[in-house]
Amino acid sequence: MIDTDRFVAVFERELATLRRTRSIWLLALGYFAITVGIGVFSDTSGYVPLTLTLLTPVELLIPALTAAVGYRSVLADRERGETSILQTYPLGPGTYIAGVYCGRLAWTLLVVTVSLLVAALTVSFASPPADVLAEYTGIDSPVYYFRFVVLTAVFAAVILALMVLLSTLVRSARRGIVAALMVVVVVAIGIDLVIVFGVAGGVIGGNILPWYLALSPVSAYRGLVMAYVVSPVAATVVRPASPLMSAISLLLWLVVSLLLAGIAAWSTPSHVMSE
Amino acid sequence: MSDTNQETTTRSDTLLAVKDVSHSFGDVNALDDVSFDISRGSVTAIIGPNGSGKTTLAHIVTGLRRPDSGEIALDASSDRPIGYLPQSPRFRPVFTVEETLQFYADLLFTPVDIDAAMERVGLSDVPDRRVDALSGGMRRLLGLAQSVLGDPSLVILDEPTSGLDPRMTKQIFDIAAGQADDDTAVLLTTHDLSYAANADNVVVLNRGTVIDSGSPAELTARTNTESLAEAFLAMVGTTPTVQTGTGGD
Repeated sequence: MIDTDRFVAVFERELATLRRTRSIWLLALGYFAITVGIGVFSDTSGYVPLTLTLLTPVELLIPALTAAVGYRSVLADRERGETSILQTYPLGPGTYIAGVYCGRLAWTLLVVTVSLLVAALTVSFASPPADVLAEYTGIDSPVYYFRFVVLTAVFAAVILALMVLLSTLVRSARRGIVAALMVVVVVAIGIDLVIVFGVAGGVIGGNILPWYLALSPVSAYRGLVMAYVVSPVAATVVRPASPLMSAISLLLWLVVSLLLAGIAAWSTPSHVMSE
Repeated sequence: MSDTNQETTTRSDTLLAVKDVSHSFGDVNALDDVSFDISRGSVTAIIGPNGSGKTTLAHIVTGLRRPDSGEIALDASSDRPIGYLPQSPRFRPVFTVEETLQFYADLLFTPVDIDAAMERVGLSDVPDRRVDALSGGMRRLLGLAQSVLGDPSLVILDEPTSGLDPRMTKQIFDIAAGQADDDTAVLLTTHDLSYAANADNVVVLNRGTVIDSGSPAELTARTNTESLAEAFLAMVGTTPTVQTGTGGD
């Protein structure tokens, strides 16, 4: 159970910590510059083309951003000895993890959504080139781009949950960095590569490929973007991962990561019998 | 331990009972059948050579580590039964003294007077100073102020004066001694035997075993020595040996 008052205390502490940390602002600035820069230099002429332009960079940037924000979220308290102190207060590990996660998530979502929304301002409304007209049959709309922003926020929430779990498991900052980099590589590329090899080796058949694609957070996210942002306006047939399975997959990654983080946050439950 | 329902009429004088606690790290026995009691209002010092199991014992009593066997019984009912100060505590550097204490106070169910907590440890002049601008001694005082928030029944201080100058050491021991009253007991691990001699009780650990315990006067009398430091050397010997335990003492 989450205790509201103690959750708010931890949540506000996380937000204040991020707000006062210079490197976090530099990170936000970098993410903003890259995202908006891609929008500016790609000179896209529609919201859906911009989505497709941003999709692959975002698949890499979100794991990198959440790794930087999340890998020390719990580890830093443990390294300072504050986790030991926190366990002597009436604060459950679930409430602690919820507060840490939501505080970091609030900041992450602010950076991600503001960057994507500003990038949307770079869309050119001049007449698109003929090849663009040939690729899209439907009416381009900011609604589709808004869907992309929402799905990207969900993707960021899932990967951040993974990073918070990682932060509860590692025992040193160095191992935390290595583990975070491994998670970024595995999430961004690794699982997709395994699926590609599975398809190439004939282990994964074409009919069940959309189901397998939903297993990876990145593929699930990409599948949902294809299904709800690109497919409605694309002239060519887009065959994404199963939308339902993708949504369930992302939900499971999120919930299981946070549950495991809650279990692992206090390494040992108190055994002292207090009357 | 006394029954909570009978607390007002038959409350035991014993606040904490440690009974036959053993703990090992792999093949290394950190603690072996450790037993002792702590009375309300007392200051108990756990002393022992490096690696004798002091920090492991502090972790187990605090509830941070589960013993392999044995029991810990604490007769306390407050929303924070145990206050804890780890070795060399550090706090988030971007917060001030007051903000740090306020965060911990917000975790308690009952309101806490932060100003009084800062006054008690001598930090009332620097409420707005950031943690990263505090000296090592002031950080220890901040940790001490945190350890007594919520009026815990038992305050555990793990080597609270290691690495501090004599003046700061005296201040911290004075504050710790002042914290012990009718409802609160203090348990501290230390290498500072001159101040441990002021404790009500001393538990001597060596190789994870309690080799003696009692008041400082009792220990010196039993070893026919004149000071706790001499008594300590008489009990554990003067030749350093490889001791048991990992992760601190």
